[in-house]
Amino acid sequence: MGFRSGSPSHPSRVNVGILLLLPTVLILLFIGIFPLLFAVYTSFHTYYLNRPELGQPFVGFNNYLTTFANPFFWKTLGVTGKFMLLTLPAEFLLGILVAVIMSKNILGGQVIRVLLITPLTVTPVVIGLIWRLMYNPQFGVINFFLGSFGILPIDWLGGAQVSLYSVAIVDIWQWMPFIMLICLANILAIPTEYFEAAVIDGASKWAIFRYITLPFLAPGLVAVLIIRTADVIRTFDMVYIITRGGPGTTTELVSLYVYRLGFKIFDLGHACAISILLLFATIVISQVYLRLFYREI
Amino acid sequence: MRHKKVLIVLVGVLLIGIATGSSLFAWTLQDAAKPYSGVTIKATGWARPDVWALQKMSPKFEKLTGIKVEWEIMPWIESRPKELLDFASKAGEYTIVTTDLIWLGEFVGMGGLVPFDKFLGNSNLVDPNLDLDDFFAKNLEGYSTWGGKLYGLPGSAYVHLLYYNKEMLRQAGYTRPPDTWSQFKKMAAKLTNSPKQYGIALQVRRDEHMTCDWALNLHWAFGGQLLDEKFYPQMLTPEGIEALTYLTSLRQYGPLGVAAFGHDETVMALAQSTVGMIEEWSSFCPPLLDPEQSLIVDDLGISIVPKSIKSGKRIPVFGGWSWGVNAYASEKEQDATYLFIQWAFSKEMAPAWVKLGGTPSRKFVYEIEELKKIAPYFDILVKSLPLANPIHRPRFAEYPAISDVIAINASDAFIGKITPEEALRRMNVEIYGIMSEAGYYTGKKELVQ
Repeated sequence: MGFRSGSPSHPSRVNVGILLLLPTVLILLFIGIFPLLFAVYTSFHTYYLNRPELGQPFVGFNNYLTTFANPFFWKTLGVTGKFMLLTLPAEFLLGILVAVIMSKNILGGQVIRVLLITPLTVTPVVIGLIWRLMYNPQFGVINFFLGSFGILPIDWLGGAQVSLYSVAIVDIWQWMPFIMLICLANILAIPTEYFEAAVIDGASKWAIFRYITLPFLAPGLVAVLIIRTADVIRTFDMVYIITRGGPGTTTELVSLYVYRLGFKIFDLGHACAISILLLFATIVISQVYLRLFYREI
Repeated sequence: MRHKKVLIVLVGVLLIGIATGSSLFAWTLQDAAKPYSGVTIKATGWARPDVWALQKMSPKFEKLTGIKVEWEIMPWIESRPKELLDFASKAGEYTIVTTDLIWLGEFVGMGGLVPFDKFLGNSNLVDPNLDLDDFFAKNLEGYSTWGGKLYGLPGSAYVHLLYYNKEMLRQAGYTRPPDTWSQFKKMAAKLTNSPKQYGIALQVRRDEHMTCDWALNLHWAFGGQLLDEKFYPQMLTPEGIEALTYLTSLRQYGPLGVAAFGHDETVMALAQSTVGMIEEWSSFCPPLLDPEQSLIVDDLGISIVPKSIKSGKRIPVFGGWSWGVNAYASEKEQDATYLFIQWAFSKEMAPAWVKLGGTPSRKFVYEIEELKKIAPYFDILVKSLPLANPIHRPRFAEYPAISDVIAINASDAFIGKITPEEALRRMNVEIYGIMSEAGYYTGKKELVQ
């Protein structure tokens, strides 16, 4: 009845609308909001899953304060920052470069595009296993390949100076194609008249890229930057499989530290506190990106 | 007269019973399992040769009993979180609980394990040939007993042995394996011819590998201890510094990437003739004797671990696991699970387990000549086990956190990021914090390990 005769504000139509939305809202509440609220609640308590005798006493901001006072937390944050600096610029530069190349009509472009996308389709665990084998100093294909050029074997995963670069290379390999795809889609959507006019005006290739291509890419790149920054902060599976955070603490990203606290020591109070802090950090960084880089075309 | 006839009949029945012995009154697995036919139990185990062997054996149990055994084989590192979450959620999914000896106190504290009194008091379930005395006493106590109560039956006997490539040693001019840690290092240096050949491989990946297999191994061997009698940490001591300095000095004699080596890489390095010596668990011997996995089957030497020059003691690392019954499984599942554990670790099945790659905690198998031929490590294992240190690693709930602290700092020292002294100082401070928070120094928690 409401559908047939009611106006948008008709009470029965509104009720049907609410009823239709309700399952989705409930599911979202259950899988999204409730765990988040539980994490916030847990972060204010001492909660060791493996030591029930301690109970779950309320400790206020103690978990947050001890996290701030913990040098290991800052160390893992530093490693995460370094990992981000190694991966994101390389992924963006390579992604844009490859997208520009792929936007031209090159021979075998379709095949290359499919090959480039392949890493995106593989799960991080499998990627970790594959690269761990490839990085094997004795039997790995990488050292074998380098050896054929007379280069001495490299201790990819056991060397303190190299291991973070090794996992960064894997991350770049996996995620550069994602940025390439976004950029390629944006480039192909730019009206060709802009390029034709620029060529007629005698603009250089760099000028065309700087003043036509890049401004069109900017909104998409900001979105990707936000997504990838959040991704890097929560990078876990691949690094866990390849190095488990070692050797020493050289590849101990903050996500691995949270995992260790949560699923090895079962100190859920601290693990949740750090998770909430990281959530805030991601939101703040996203806002900074938007203010700094986002421009309407 | 009538009474006399009845008496004669009764005596007759009794005599027939005695004559036919087992068939009339004896316990059989089939009979014991009848009430549980159709029940599904779930076994957990680590991806290792001894567990794969048990998995191969289980269809026989299924055939005998009608109890279905599901398996979930996983890496060691994933086993504890899964089992703990199972206890915390009271799901009872893993009816068989694989308990590394270092998890025993924690699992019992969480109420996850059924005390075995419950089963041992039930004559319908207990095999009269169970013979608990036949288990190595150290394993029965170390793997399965907490607070005086039995919480499982001991599985594989784990003790560190020294494995070496006899041919490689001979070419370097050695006819015997190293007797002391000092000789071990000298021989490792002489065997190293980088990048073709290395003296040793060390399982020092930054987790329990580093803590158990090498950091604490050498710490004890060089005369140190983890905790004193009041549970204060004892890492930063002259013995501790000597041990960790020694460990870091071994890195140069290991293959590239040794800092990330776990058990698999270490065993394979010896099996592929890349290194001359390793120190590993007894349970890793079967793959070294398998021609499909090992190039050194005929050249494999096995000996007891080296001794400390100062103390003159050999202290092999003690490890191992038991199978317990999940307290959150249903009553029927618990009983069926007990029957499976009892069968898998029975005297009857122990020889079959050895043949498939197991290292049982049953004493009697180590005296069977036929088995000694296929398992040449038997005699060394039996000699090593009594020397092993039962408190090499504590079994209380705080140990995983302590292990983490030791692994991280020892690993940082191993790759040269910090000095051994700094690593040990950090260990002492952090372990003190863990023990203090747990309440060991205020009397809140009993000093039991």
